[in-house]
Amino acid sequence: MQSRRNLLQNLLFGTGGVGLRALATGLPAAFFTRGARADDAGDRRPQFLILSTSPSGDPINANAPGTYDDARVIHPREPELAATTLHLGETTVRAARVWTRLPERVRNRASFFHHATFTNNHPNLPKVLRLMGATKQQEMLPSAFAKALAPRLGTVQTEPVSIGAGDLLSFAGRSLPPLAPLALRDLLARDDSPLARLTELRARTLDEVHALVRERGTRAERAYLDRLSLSHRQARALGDSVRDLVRTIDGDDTHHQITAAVALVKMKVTPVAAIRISFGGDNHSDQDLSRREAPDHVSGVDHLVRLFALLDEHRLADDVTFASINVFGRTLRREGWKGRDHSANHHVTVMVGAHVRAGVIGGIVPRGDDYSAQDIDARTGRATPGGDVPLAESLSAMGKTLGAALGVPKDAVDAAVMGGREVTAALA
Amino acid sequence: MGRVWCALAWALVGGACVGSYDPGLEPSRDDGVGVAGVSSDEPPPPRGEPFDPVRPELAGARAKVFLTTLALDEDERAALAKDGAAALPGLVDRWLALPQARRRLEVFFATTFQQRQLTIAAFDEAFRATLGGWADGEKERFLRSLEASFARTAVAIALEGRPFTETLTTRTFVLNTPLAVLLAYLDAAPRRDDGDPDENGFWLLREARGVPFRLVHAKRDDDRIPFEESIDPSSPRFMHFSFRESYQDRCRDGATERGPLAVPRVFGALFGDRVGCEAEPSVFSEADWNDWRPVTVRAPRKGERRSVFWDVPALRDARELVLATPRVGFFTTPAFFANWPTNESNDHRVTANQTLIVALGRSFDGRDVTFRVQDAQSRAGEHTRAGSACVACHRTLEPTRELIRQSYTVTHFQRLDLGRDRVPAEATFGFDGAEARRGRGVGDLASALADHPRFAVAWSVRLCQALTANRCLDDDPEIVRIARAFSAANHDFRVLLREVVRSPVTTHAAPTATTDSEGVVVAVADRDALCARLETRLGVGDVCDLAGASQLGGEARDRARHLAMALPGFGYARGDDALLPPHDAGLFFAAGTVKLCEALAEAAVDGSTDARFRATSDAAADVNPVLAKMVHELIGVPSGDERAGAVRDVLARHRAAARVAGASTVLALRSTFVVACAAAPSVSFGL
Repeated sequence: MQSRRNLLQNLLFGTGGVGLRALATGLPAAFFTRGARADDAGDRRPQFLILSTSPSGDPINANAPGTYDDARVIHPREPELAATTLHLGETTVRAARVWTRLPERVRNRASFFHHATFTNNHPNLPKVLRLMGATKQQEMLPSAFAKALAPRLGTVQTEPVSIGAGDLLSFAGRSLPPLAPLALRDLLARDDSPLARLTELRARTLDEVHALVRERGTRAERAYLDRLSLSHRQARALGDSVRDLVRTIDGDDTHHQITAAVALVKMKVTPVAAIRISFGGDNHSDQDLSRREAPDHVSGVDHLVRLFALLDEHRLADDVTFASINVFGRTLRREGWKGRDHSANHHVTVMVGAHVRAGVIGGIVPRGDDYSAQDIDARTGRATPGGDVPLAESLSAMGKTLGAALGVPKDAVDAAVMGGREVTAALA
Repeated sequence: MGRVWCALAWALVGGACVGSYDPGLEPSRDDGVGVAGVSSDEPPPPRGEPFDPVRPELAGARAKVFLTTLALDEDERAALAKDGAAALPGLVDRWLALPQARRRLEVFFATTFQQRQLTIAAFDEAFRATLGGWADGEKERFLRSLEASFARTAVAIALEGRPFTETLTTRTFVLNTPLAVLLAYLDAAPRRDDGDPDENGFWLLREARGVPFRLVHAKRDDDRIPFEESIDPSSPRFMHFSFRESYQDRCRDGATERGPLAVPRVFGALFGDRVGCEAEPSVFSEADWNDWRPVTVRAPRKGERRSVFWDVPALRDARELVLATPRVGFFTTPAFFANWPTNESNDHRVTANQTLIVALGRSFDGRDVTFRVQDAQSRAGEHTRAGSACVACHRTLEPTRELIRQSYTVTHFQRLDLGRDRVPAEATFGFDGAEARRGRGVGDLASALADHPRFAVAWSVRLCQALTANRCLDDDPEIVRIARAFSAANHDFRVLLREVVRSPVTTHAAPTATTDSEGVVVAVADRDALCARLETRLGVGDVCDLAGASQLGGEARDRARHLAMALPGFGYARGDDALLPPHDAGLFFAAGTVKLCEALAEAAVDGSTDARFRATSDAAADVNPVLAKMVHELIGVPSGDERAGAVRDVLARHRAAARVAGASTVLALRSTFVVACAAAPSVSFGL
């Protein structure tokens, strides 16, 4: 049994003075420890999430593994979208050739989860991220997971950062401002100018000014000033570890969003970074599916290849899980070659990460003049009519499975997501 | 109220969408967290803790900076200290007379009427246009003009005390010459839903009797065709436009376009487009871009000729445009359409929904309510047919969008044939308990919205939220009182402003239902507000380069723009019916404001006589006035405020310490400037 004094001493001076450094910088103590840790309870090692999300409803579902077994499903005619054999870990499937561009080590931890989002309306991406009413207090999934992951990862802030997802993300109900890659670059830039050399002096003076304002402030004013002062301290403590990486940013496009996301993870700023990788966008009038869908699939997969190469380079591949969740999928057949319409009934979430078991989860079934996702057997991951993950709960099941793959403790996942169940077949 | 609205929406749709709405769930509003304090996960204040009233001087300072970006003057502070919130209505009138107020209101209205956030791609998509070949700089000027036009219209309505419902019903818009040309062009080159030209509407083409648009290569400068000849029907070179450079082989022989495609070519040519060849200067002068004036759009009388888009000389200073295309209120402007491009599948549902959000603060499918589509789409469009699962979800949306469809195709041109396009001749607007009204076209929709009882509440809430950066409850008795006063004053926006600014719902002088429920927040200044504040206080035009017209040079300009973009903005999103400014002073805000101030230090402080903050010597006689100016103008603390002296002393100590550390006189003052510029009151609302 430790005395309070011993406990305090260990907190402040133990492990290389982590506590003191945390006090000095305003950063959480876990920020200074190397890597994330698994809990004693046996939960998976926590992961950072790099999330690609878009309200456009990209046709990523239309050419994902699991859609090439039914010859009536329409795919672009370009060679890169032609059917081929794809190895996903121990699973062999028919899939678009473009997915073979992913290196084997990435494919060995890639899962294609077929489900529905139950909406065909662009503005409903925030609702889809709330699992269409199945999250507690209508909190967005990235927000709920961020709250669970931040203390375990020791990130500077709990809130997700939207690098390329616009201002659609919210945290505890408040819209999160986007942070473009160029802005991140200039925020982290350090120079050796005469003005920069006076930074510490200015920091102290700012604290003095704030103390003066605080003296007669109301409760809300004092809380605001405390928050701002803490943010200033944290900001000053960041940046050195990724200076070379962010220096390469010279645009706000997907390429640079990926760089910025990796930099934020490496700096342990946030547990969740949101970007936007296009796989064809809102392609209603994409004649022959050749103007948007086919080229964007090639560039989209290439962006993923680069993301994982960058994570490898920075030794983060085992610490980061990638997921792609859009507002809805698109019709697989109904509009023929004219382009694709919105589908409320089918969407594919792509997950890649250390705790993801490679393969295809669920599948499609003809419905009316198009297709729908199916019920799933959680143990095998196969599309199974009457499976223990009914279609109606497939979105929640995806959410719970992603939570588990991120290393969010099961009780936290269950508390955040109502309905559905973890699909163990998707978990390593 | 969220629960009431949720239940109402549920009643409206009658449970027809397959049951995924669980009335047992807490309605989101949004996410069920009553935000109090400052951090987004800050717990609400403990129950029973006494309300912490805000001093009237701070409430006044917040209102003034919101309206003008300026700091409170000493006489204003004294009046507020003496009379409390009672002084505010008079001060509001004084502030509204300042030129800065007009500019701030323009930004506020451009945002609230959803006329901003435009891109060239969005405009091209909405109108099947191709702005890519326009002359350098013209695209940016065009987009910024589009964004500004209705905001200027709304400011005129507001400051002249005309009924603010005119923002829905007006047919008079503040335009410059290029926008007048645009409206006339859109009227002369209509397109169907599928994007093909609707040739019946190409009246100018008929009148020109097949004269082709011709691009002519001018081998010498003297060969250039004067614009007056290009648009003179009696000239042999009528509709001929020259270009000078021909770097590409295909350009050397010029080009000819006949039929409907010739009309967009002429429109593009006015802005310098030479169809893939090197652009020429546009025909519009700087004066044309700045000749803003009210222009009334009216239908032609029998036999009357419509306005001709290429007749630029006639459109300069025109106060009237004769067009068949109906233009009414904020929701038929090209900027609004380009914000919310629709298509044959969506078929103006997005237009109708965003119109409702702006006009009444409500969405057909509010974010508080989630309906799942589970058995939809068995056939194309079937989910909206009678008896299908989702028909009730469309019960109010579909008839409303028909009113827009009657006037506009999904490519945002005038619809010429209702029967051909299978659009009903009449439609109904009924929403949120108001009596259903039958009508035809956007004019009738505008009237129905203007008469809707929610209009006054929506704008009371919107203004309250903009001032407090927090949710305001539309059933708060204070909001109800304000809305009644606004209605009773024939929707005079100035009355609304006075009532909102003096109300405890924004002054936080006393608790209200809103503060009981939502708490009180101090908020960061959003990007536009902070940049406008710095622009005014430093005297540097477009200091963050948000309009691409910064007076800063080179690197400082780029850095300021990038850093400003890291600050949270006050924007709108599709389907979002609760426009709330950002409030959290997070890591990136803190870092961004300091970096931005560092980037501006050189422009703000030097030793020259025209410097905003002049550094000449260490003598107290030189230094003290500059520091006092920083305290008042930059930090916003009036001289009579009890904090003023202490803050000035802190700045003085910093300057002295910087000198001791080896900084020059100028550098020491620059460092002091950064402190003042990045201090909490300088970058926040409500301190």
